[in-house]
Amino acid sequence: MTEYLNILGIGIMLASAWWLFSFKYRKYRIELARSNLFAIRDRLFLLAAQEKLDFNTDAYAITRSTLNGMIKFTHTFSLTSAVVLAIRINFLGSKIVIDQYREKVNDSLNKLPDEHVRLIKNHMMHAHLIIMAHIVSTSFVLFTLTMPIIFLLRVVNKMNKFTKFLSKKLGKTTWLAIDMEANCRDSESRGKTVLCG
Amino acid sequence: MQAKQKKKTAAELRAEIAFIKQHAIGDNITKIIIMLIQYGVLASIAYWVYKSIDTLAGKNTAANIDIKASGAFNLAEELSQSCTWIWILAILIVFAAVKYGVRQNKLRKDDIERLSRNNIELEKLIDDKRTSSTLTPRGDTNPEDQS
Repeated sequence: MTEYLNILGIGIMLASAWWLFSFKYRKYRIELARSNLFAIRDRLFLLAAQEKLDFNTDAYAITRSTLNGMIKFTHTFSLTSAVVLAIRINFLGSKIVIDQYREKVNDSLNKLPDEHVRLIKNHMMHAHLIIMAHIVSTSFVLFTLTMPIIFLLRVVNKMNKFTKFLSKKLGKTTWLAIDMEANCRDSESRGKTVLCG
Repeated sequence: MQAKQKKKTAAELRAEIAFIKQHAIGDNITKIIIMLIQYGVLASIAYWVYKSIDTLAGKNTAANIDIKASGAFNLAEELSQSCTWIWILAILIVFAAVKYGVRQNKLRKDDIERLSRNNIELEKLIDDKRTSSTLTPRGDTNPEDQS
């Protein structure tokens, strides 16, 4: 009888752990990422309200639209979606659209003073770090692999440096593709006829 | 100033449409993979429990008959003999659940702090005589009002 109880006990525990990670923890991470992205969007708005940025520039509109897309579709960001996106960029010819988007973003930034460009880039980098943290923490494989490293980095207080390093290593194209996805989704959901912003 | 939208070429528009199509297909593939992984794990746990009980059933029938016949089954005694894995798992799950609760609470308070700060600034623009409930910025009772 003890063996049966043991097996049932372990089965129930594993199922509880599965439920906690797959639903409760994942939902919490989505809410956390959204809350952090909202904070970035609020900061950008306040900067524009204080005239440190211009509401009427393309760069501001693109950044806000990208952040809106990220907030609206945080639930779709995952390791699997990142892998599918990487396949699409590298093998299914999405590069043309990404180049188009890159040109559009660069054009919009070129029209701004250096200080405005720096502010927008800083905020977008912060948004990328939030998305990266979300992807790592909602993937069971990445979560279990990186948990000891993250714990150690937190102990030695080097977490920020590490995430910035990882963010640079991921490459600009990947982030640009993620931004473009978010921007497209926001444009689509608002029924814009011009695709991708 | 927002510039007038540059007219896109037919090739650019075709590429965009292809991108949107890929995007919809990619979304669905992602959903299917995630569902397969998520419910595959649950199915594996259920299968492991079933196989383990099935394997034990053959070996333990005689022993169980003995126990039932003597009327000596005692749940507390059986539980006290449970393997240490159950306890380790139980402790880990309780720890994770408590941490989840603490983090949810922190997130809620962070949101209260962020939203109330913006609200105060906006309300002050309309009513500079605006009064406050004097709760802390994170929505807790003011220490002066505790007693």
